[in-house]
Amino acid sequence: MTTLDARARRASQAIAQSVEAGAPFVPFDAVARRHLWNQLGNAVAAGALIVAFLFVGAFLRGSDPEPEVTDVEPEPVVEEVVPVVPEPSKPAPVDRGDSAPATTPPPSGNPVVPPVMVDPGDVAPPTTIEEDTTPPDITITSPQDGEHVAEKMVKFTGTTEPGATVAAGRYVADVDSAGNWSIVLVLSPGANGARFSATDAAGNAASARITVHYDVAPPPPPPPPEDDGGDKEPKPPKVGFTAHAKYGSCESSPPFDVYWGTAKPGSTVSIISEYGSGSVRADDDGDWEVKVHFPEAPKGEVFVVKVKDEFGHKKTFEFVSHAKT
Amino acid sequence: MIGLAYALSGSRSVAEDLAQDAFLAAHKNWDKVGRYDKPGAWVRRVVANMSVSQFRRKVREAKALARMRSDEAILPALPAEDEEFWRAVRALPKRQAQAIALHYLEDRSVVDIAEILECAEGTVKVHLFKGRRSLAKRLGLEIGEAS
Repeated sequence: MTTLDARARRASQAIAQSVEAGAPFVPFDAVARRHLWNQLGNAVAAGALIVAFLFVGAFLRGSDPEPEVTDVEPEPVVEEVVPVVPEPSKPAPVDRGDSAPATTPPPSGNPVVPPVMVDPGDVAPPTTIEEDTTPPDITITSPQDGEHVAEKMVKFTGTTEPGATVAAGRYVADVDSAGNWSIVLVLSPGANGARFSATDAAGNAASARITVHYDVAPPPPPPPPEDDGGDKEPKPPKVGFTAHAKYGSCESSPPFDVYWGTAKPGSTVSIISEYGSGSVRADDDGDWEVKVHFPEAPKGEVFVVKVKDEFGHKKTFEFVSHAKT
Repeated sequence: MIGLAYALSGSRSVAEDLAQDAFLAAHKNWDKVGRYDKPGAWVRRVVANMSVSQFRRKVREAKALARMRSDEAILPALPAEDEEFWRAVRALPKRQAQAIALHYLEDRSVVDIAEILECAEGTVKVHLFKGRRSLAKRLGLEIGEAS
């Protein structure tokens, strides 16, 4: 069987013979020359590549791609018609914001006239169309501006140009053929500003605004507590604000103190200091207690701790840490 | 040198290019290379390393193929059996292939190969052992001298 070494020797001889039979000896000068040409070629190729990239980049940035041409029917030519602006015959109503019925503001600026589509095959002379540039009237007949109502849902009514649409924000009102409109809106307690806009078929718009106050009736008083028949007298709620500090100093690490007292039931009491804070809600009896840590408090330094409730009552305490580190 | 490049790169068109570049590199760095005890070992190391580098080999092959339009001669092809042997060598890990090529092609000693590849003699022995074992297995041959 052939061994690896024998096979390797033959393969090595084959390589040697191939090299001897191959390229003739090339003088070193020729090799060096070729190397130089190779280097030059590489430099030129690199330069050409960079220039090509720059050209392609400039082309891509500068050129607008042509739209594809397809077989389509010719589009009708759009021809703009000079608008004929009518003189206003009467002063337009304005939004006065008072109790009088609100009316439309005057038209302002140059009216925008939509272009007229003309069939290119039409041989008749182009027709000039007078555009409606007058905004529709809009009035609010009910309720009156500044009126106070006791109902949450209020029906707003008014009049506008027949054929116009009326909307309050994104809610569209019902408009009959005579231009009477109505819409029911839900009010929030207090003052409610309602703005109604009318838009006619030509796109002209006007608006009117009123303010309606929704007065919420005070809630009925709570029923008296049922007598459980016990001997205990019902405890009056503690509503007065009091605050106390339990220790004033602390040797634990981190140092802390416990604050307690009374406040309006359900109200929040805050404990604030430079080195630690906390808050607590007073319970149904008005009692509160909270433990506040002062992890960053410097040892031996007295600092102020403020305790206050939601209503501006406050009390200050001093605290000093003797924490053993 | 060309033979070493041919064996390790597997490309007749690239082998001469590699050998030339190695000698040119030696020429350009002669101030440093000339001070070595064996500058030839340095050139062989350059050839061996460039030959097994796939990316460099592809670039050189492209350049060499571009020159084939000229009348320069290239190395004749190897017999199929010998080509199969060197293909198996090239399939070995880089260091093993380099050690095997230097060992068989140039009949280099372990000391020489260690100097060329800049590694310890023990490492060369391991490369040769593992390389020969892999070759024998791949080619279905016995390891050892023919009787």
